[in-house]
Amino acid sequence: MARGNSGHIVTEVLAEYGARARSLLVTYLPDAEPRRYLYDLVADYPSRGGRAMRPSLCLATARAFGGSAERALHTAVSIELFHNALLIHDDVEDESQTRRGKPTMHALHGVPVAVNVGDTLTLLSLRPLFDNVRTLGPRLTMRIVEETERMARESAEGQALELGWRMDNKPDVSETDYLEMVLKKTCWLACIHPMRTGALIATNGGHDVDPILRYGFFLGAAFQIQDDLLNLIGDAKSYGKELGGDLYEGKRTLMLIHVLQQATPAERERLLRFLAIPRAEKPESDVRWLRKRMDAYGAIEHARSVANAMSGAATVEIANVFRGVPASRDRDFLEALATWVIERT
Amino acid sequence: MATTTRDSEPKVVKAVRRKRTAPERTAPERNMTAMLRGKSPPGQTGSRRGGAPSMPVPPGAPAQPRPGAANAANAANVAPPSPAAAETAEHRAVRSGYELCEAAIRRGQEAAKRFAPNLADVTSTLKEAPGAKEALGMAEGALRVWADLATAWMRAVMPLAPAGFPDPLKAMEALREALSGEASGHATGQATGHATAARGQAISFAVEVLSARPARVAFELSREVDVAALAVQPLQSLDRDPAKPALLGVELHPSKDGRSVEIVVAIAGAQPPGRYLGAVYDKVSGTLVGGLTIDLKA
Amino acid sequence: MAAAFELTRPGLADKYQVTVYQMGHRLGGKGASGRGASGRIEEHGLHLWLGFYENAFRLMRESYAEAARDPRTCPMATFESAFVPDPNVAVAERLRSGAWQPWVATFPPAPGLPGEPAHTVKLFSVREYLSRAVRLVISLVRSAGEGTAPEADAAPPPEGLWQAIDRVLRYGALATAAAIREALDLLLAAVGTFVPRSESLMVRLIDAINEATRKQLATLVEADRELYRVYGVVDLVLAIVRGSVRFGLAFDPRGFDAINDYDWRAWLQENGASEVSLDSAFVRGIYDLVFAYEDGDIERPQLAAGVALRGAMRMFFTYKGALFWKMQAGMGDVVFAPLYEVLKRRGVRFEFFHKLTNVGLGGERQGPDGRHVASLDFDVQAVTKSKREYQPLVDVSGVPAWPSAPLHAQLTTGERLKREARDLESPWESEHVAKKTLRVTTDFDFVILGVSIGAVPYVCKEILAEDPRWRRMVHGVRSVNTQAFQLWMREDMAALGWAEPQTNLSGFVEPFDTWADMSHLVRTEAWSRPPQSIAYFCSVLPDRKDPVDEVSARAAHEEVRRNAVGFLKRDVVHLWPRAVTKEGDFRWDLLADPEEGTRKTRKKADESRFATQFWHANVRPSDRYVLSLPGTIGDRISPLDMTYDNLTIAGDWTASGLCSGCVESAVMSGMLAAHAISGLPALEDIVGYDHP
Repeated sequence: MARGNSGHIVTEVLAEYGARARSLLVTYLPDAEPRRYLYDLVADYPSRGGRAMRPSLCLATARAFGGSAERALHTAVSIELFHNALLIHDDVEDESQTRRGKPTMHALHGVPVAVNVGDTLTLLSLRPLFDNVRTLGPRLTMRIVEETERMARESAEGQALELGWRMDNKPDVSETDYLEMVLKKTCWLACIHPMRTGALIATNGGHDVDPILRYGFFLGAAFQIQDDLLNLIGDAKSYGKELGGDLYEGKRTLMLIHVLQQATPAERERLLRFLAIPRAEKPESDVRWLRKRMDAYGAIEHARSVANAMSGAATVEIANVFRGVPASRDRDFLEALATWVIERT
Repeated sequence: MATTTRDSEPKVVKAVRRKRTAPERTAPERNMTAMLRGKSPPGQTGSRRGGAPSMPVPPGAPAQPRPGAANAANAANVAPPSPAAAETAEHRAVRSGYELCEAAIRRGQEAAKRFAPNLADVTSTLKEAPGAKEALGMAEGALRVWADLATAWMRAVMPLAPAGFPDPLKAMEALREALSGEASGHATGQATGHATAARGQAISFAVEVLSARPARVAFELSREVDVAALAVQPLQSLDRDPAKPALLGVELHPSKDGRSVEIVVAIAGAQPPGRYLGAVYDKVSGTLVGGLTIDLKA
Repeated sequence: MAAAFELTRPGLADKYQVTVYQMGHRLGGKGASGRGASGRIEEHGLHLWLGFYENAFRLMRESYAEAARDPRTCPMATFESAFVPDPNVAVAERLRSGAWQPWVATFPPAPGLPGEPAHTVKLFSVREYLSRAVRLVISLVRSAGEGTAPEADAAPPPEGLWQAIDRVLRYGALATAAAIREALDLLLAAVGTFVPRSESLMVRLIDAINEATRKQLATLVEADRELYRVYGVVDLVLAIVRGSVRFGLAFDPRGFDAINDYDWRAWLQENGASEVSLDSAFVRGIYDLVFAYEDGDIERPQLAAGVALRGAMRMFFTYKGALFWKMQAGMGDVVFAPLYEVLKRRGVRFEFFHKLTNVGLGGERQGPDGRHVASLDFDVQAVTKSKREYQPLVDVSGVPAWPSAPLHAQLTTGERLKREARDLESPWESEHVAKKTLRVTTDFDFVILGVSIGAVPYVCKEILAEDPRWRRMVHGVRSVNTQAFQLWMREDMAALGWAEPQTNLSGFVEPFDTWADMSHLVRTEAWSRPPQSIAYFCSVLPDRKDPVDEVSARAAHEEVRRNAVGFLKRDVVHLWPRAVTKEGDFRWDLLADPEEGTRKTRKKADESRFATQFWHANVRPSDRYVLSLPGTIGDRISPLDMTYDNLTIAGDWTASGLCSGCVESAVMSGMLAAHAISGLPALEDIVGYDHP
């Protein structure tokens, strides 16, 4: 649920496009053996619901630029499949326990099976891209494959950055580092790529998609920071993962970075020791201490104000993206997203 | 037509007259040989001068500290950030954001330039003089190279597909076929491919290769044809080696309904290995419509 | 318009505020068109788009995409509905009997569509063009030799390529078809690999082939016209290859520009083209297509050989889709209306009824400020009531269109202007309600001068007084008058006796050597009783001896009417045999009167009925068609030129890369002008700018 005016159109459009994408997506999930350890599981994450924000961005952008949702549908489905694949792997890497209100894939079936399921979903996400050739022609299809390759690579690089910080227990991650990681790991898959491909499909490869990158970054950054905030202070029922999980994970969020930067030397030392402890072994008392330090240093407010700034910049950039483009519900939706991402709970 | 430049600052009487900046060059590059050798035309820069729009930054905003440096300075600050500093942080974040975006855009543009088929690179393995290759072949070759690269990428990042799972690489092959209308044949086998005529009407081709040795046949059509009028030249060896006679024995058998063609390639045992090329043409109009390439292995 | 389009791209984030100052009520210059009675399209002349106009088509695609007209209400909402491929081209041949026969060629559709994104278009080097040319010859020769069964080829050359050529030449003439084929194959291989020192050998080879093919030609019975024409083309193409080799075009850094001092025909002749080929409809047709007659005198055809060769190579070997593309309405409606809509939406300001009278200079050439445009003087020809913005378009059957006359109701002086029949598009009309001067820095920073070359002597007197390069340009870049008329007829082409498909035909008799069947436009007009066919005719119009003013303009108008009527009485029978009566007079009753419904009495079915049709003498200085005369291409100035640091120029009269009178040249120049001001688009993104 979201407060503010942006809520209605966003939920409406997400629901509509989400349904369309899902109905095509299921046709790409094989109905074959092995079921118990593969194909039933492959269908699990996609069927857990979720906002369908990525495919909706793709379809809405295509339509806003005058194209048809039909032509963008396969690409949107591919993105959603890929997203689900990465969710499974993320959950393994973060050692998360719940996803969308249910236990994570590896919590249910163990890490090896979960990894395999994730790999399969990645493979499956390619199929719809090849099917594009019938409607989009070979050149545009190849362009989208190129774009997908870039997105996949950026996502992997972003994930590597984040994992590396954790593995090395890096103490001095800056806000800029964080934003770079978010750009790569989150923004490309969540915002930039779906919109770029939508625009390319609608304009037959002719559109200059660089302004979209800027909008996608700010939108995704606002989205991610809000996500991190909700992890700490969100409503347990509507937030899909376990509350406070990021604290256990030692995830470098803006809040954590802020504390690291503001802390006294003694606090810093304690914090770094805390971060070095494996997730399962982190004492609850330390987690609570960290949370209090965040409050003390105004880390939540700081992160919220940065999220607002990102949202503001997104509003500026979406105007650039849509300069000269006629009004439409899809355009309204994309414009409303800039505020929706930080108003949602 | 008159143009003015908008300023983001409030309107002030402009004392300075605006002048054009001199372009890097003022004449077209007509020397294609130099371009094809991979030298970018003079003045490759100057494009895409869109930088990050200027963000109004309050004066005195401190620069983002470099990671790992000056943490001692931060450690001294224990009080919660004042509202003024919070605003600065917002600006800082947005400014960093724009810098990251511009860097990402630049990387994308550089990658696009690399991928835009650099004709010299693509043909360098063929050791021809610059500009000697037929351009149509170069473009096709470049697309094939890219399709090969994409395939290799997927091979590298995808695990082996589970048993019984449709092979995505086969799907990739289908895409490459659509790109170039190739049909692959084996020494004793038969393969079918599709080449789409310009108006969307598909003509199917079947290739039968009769040869004692492995041979790969590529058949390419660049335009709509009447299959009954198709004919192919005797294929000459690519390197014009006098020891390699023309490859005869290629016959085209169009179907009555004009929708399919059977290509029969019979290769004599004595034919030396190598690549052979021949033009495919429309007998009636006399126009060149495509090419047939046979790679004969040793 | 192209420059404005580039400068206001979203990516430039509103950096430039653009204002367009336009004389009269219509945008488009020579590309403007209007609508008259019954919504009939009244054009400046005949506009054909060639399939290699990549930049112009891209501009159109993007404009239509951005204009986003609603296809449910507007019949011309998409690019595809505005431009259709037209693969037929014809040249008219005069037979020995004196009769004319059309030679219709259908060019096969080429893959792709024009105007795809710049980075996807591949153009060729000189070698690659030559290679294509030789392949064309090979396929033409094969098709001509169809009678003889293609035997297996002779044994391949037992020696290297050059030795093979030497051997072929040593044994004298190429006597058999097989020998010719072998020689052609050798030529094809040679074209790909030759270096300067092997030129003479290549030339000898081409000569041998040429001689052999001519001998074949001589043995043909004249009745076999098809083969006769084929060899005519072979002859010309071999001359092109020979000339390209001899003049070292593959190695010359100037590319095809190296031969711009030659006339095209003269250059072909020097390179061995036969008289028959030079006089063929094929060559004549090219001159007609670009009005390449000095001073409009058809006895003096003049076309810079480099421009012609570049155009021919692009035209035949790089077209996408079809060779020609036809617009589905008047050019003003198809091109300038959507551009206007898009630019307006982007914030471009339009000041109609502003006639430029002077470009004023300031600053000092060597001084700190630099020589620049300091002021622009305008006659404000009319103003709108209540200072509202002038709305220039009208709706004709759902399509936004430009009217032939200004919309007087919007103007304060409108009634009087209408009553007095003032033509605000005429350079000799001095009617104005005010004068306006714009000053640099206060009112503008940069100027893009888009008037045609014909107007430059009138409005750039200060520049011409001091700048020898501009004087040379005005002297060298000349233009010609053209004449055109349009007919709307009550019967279709087939009924009139034209048996071929819908065509554009060139090379016909003077004074109207070019005819285009534009019957597809009927549904775009708004006739209560639609005609069955529409025909456009045009050609060059000789310069008049009298001074250039309104009196002579009116005389020229009358001259064109006489020419048209004479043409219909005398010559059109060759094209439309059934359009004449038994006595040989044109069937004037065929002509459809657009005002039939409103006239009290019907127009008589005689010559006077011609007055209901539309004709035009393009004699106004900026209406003249720009020529590419030999030896003058270097006189053109590029929009990138920096002599005046706040001025750039745009139009097909500039050094646009293509340097010929056509839409593509104009669009390229506009893109160059935009680059001159903003650095964008990148020069590499102007398709065909970097090109031999």
